[in-house]
Amino acid sequence: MPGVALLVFREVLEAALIVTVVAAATRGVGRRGTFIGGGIALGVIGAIVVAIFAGAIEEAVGGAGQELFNASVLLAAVVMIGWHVTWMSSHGKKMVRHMQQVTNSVKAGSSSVAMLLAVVALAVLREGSEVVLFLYGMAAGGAGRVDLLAGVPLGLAGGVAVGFALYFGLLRIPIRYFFTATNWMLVLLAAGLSSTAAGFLIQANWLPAWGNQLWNTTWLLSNGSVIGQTLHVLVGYEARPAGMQLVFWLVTALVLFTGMRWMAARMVSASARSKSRQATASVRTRAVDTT
Amino acid sequence: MEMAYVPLRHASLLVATICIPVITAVESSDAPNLAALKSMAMTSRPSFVYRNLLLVLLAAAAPFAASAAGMPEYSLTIQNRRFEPATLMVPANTKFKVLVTNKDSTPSEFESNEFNREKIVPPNSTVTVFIGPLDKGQYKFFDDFHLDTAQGVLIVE
Repeated sequence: MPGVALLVFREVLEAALIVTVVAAATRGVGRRGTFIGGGIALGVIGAIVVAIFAGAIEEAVGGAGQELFNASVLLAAVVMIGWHVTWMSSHGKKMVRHMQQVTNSVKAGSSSVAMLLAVVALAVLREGSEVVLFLYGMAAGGAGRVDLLAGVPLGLAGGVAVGFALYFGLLRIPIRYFFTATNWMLVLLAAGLSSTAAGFLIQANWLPAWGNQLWNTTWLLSNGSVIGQTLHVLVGYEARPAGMQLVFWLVTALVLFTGMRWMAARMVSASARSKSRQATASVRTRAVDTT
Repeated sequence: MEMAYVPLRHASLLVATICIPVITAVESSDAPNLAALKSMAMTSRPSFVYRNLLLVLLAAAAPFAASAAGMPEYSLTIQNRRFEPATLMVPANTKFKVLVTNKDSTPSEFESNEFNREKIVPPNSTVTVFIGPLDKGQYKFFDDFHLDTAQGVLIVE
């Protein structure tokens, strides 16, 4: 049972951390719960489908199908997060100033929120497919029913609990800095996912490593530990990163940062022009649920 | 108009960073359909400047492209939830290929935190994992789905 609970916990933890950051970043958005729930549900269905076709995926593209699939899923998530943070930089400040305007802003940028929901679905799909394969193997391999029935809920509950703990921790950030903080978390998350994608492409021999091990900080924090794994998801921590991974990390962070700054700068000049229009708009908007 | 120019430069940086991996990948693979992909990538960029940028990057990336030809090859088997052999000797500072065969009827995951690899091995099938170049030393690997029994070590010398 400890084995089952531990593996389920680790995979759920990775997905839960991503879902948590997305949940925080979409705070105040109407019907957010439905959207995130939908994303998780889609991810679970996707995970089962991916697990069923694991063999076919592996054999595709000359035996590199699995790595390319993982890298594609990760890079798709990076692009979607990038879209959202650049959009947020143009609307985030307004959201903080007039929390009641959120509904309107989100209507304007609903494609951006949809992007984040896809990120939730992709995260659950990737981690979930491993859980499905593992559990299938355990069940087929004759593991005790008690092991599975006790281990799965325990691991699931543990991973979800860490996600909630992080979420309520994030809620303590003052609202003035809240979306700035979640935007930065999304940038770091995206940079980390990008670096992980690079790792898969190196493993498939599609990319050179540019130094297989730039440094080794395993003595300080191993990627095998729960904290190392948590930081791996949240900021892309690698105890032994390859040079190419660092390049992907830096380029992603730089591109998203530049995009955010550029959109924010454009917003400042645009808002100066339409200040009077905004004032009338805020009168018309209704109050929304900000939980 | 100065404003419009700056994002354009960032956009070209983005294109460049996307193109380097794509081109390197194209160069390093033997699959024929990738040639089509390459020409598609070039024609889909309407701008002459971008086409040239791609050519320059292609030339720049070519020396870094990894080749699988003549790479040392090793085999590992997973049977009865154990690695056979559990110890694999490989050369230092050389990229190599490990063929992992799962002879069990349940899925496995070949994984190592020490040489950073992770790959599902479906039942009754073989997967290829490229590893290294690694420094001399010992590197543990394991089957993430059968942690209690399937453990192994890579000895690099």
